[in-house]
Amino acid sequence: MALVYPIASLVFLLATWQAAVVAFDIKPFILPSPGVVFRLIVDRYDVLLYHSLVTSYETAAGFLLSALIGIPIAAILVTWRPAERLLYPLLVASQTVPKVAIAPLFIVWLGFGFLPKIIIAFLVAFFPVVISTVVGLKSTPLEMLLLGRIVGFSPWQMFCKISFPRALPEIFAGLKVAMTLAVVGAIVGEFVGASEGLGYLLMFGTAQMQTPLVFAAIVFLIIIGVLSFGFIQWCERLAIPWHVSIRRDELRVVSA
Amino acid sequence: MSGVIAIDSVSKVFATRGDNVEAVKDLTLTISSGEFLSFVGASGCGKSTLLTMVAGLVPVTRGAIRIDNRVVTQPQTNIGFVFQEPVLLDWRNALDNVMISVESRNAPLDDYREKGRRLLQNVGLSGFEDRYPYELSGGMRQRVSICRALLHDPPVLLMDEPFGALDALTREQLMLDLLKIWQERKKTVLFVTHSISEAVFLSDRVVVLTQRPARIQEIIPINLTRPRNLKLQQSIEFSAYKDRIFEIFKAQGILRE
Repeated sequence: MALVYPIASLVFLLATWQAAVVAFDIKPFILPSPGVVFRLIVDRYDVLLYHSLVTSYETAAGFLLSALIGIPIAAILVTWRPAERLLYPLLVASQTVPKVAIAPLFIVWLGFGFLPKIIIAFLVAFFPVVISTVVGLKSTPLEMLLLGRIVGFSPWQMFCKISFPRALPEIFAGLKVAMTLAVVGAIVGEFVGASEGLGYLLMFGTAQMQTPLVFAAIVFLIIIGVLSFGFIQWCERLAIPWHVSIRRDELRVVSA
Repeated sequence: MSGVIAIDSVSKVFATRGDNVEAVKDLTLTISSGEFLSFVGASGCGKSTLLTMVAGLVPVTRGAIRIDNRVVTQPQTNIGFVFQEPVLLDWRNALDNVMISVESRNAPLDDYREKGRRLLQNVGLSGFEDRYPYELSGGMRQRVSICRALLHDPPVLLMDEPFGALDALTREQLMLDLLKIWQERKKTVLFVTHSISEAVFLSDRVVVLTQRPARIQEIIPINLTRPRNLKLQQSIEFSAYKDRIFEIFKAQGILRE
């Protein structure tokens, strides 16, 4: 029932698109009709799937790195004062450098394999994780800290049992942004130098004027983006069922 | 016997921007074992500060506080503290919220788990052990927080306006529950409130504090029979005690007619 509206709007969009291409006799290398793109996907699904897997792998690895490195960095920033002064300016400065500008350097340093793409995806994705985790860890209410002290928690217990679980809603907000950015990072890496992946396919398709292939690659990119975002959202539901952002959604489902 | 609290010429000065604010001034008081003592005073008079100093959460500026002859210098993990808000951890169910009191100890958690269940039953929360805070009402949450403060069987219970955020009906019920718990376990209770009738109804002695900085204005022993029930609130003696405290507040200029 909840899917009726998005499906309706999608069908409408595709029908308009198809009708416009037929009505104005637009050449496929300018704008292929949805039918042409669909046929290409059916015919070449093995190639598209292979390149999608490559990009998915780079995206997932970059994202995982951003979480595994971003969250501890944020924890250090919050708990150890000198770190904030040492690292924070550096972090912020690093974010002002456009990743596209430095991407070629990673190709020079690390070759054409997976590694440079993973690192670029990581670099693009980890900053929102750090920022949101810092905000989350800093927002522990005073009373909770007092409670932790009165029950005799060590600083480590305080972090594990109070500050960190309380920060999970903010952390997940950061992870969701990071997930979508990791896809962008992987594609940027592939644009700069790659022999496989959807980013490579996009470049190849454009150069060869195979516009339907470009559209097919974009469709798969969208699928990767939606699935990975949905995955994080699913994890979030499992991890913080108690949080108001999740419960509001439930209320809406009940009333709908 | 244990749970004797000695407050010995305690002062507290907060250094804020510009000037120093004196919250408590030269306060001396001894609370005997098993006594129920309330502090009443205008809001912002420093009564909560006093309680956090007894708990060792805030250091004293001058003087000393002793619990059973040991000077309080750090957070007292062997006491129970009830905040104005329940301060429950949203990601833990009721029982696990109660259990937090003993998790830093090297104690068999299973025994405490059973005890926690019994405590929750005692305050009418059986069947709610695995509910999360968002599934509980305000009164239920505060009950959970009282159970949390009692789990490790502390000789001293500190309560900082614990019923202040509750509706009148829930408040009456919780007062009765608290008296029952206190009667069964005979703990020393320090109770901070701005409700005069709450203080009179619950306490052995009511300490009326001055406006900031908090000093003792008057100590009023409440010689009402125990166990106390709600009907007592309509008695003449009860009203007399309340009137006496009202008069003090009027003399202080906190209440004007």
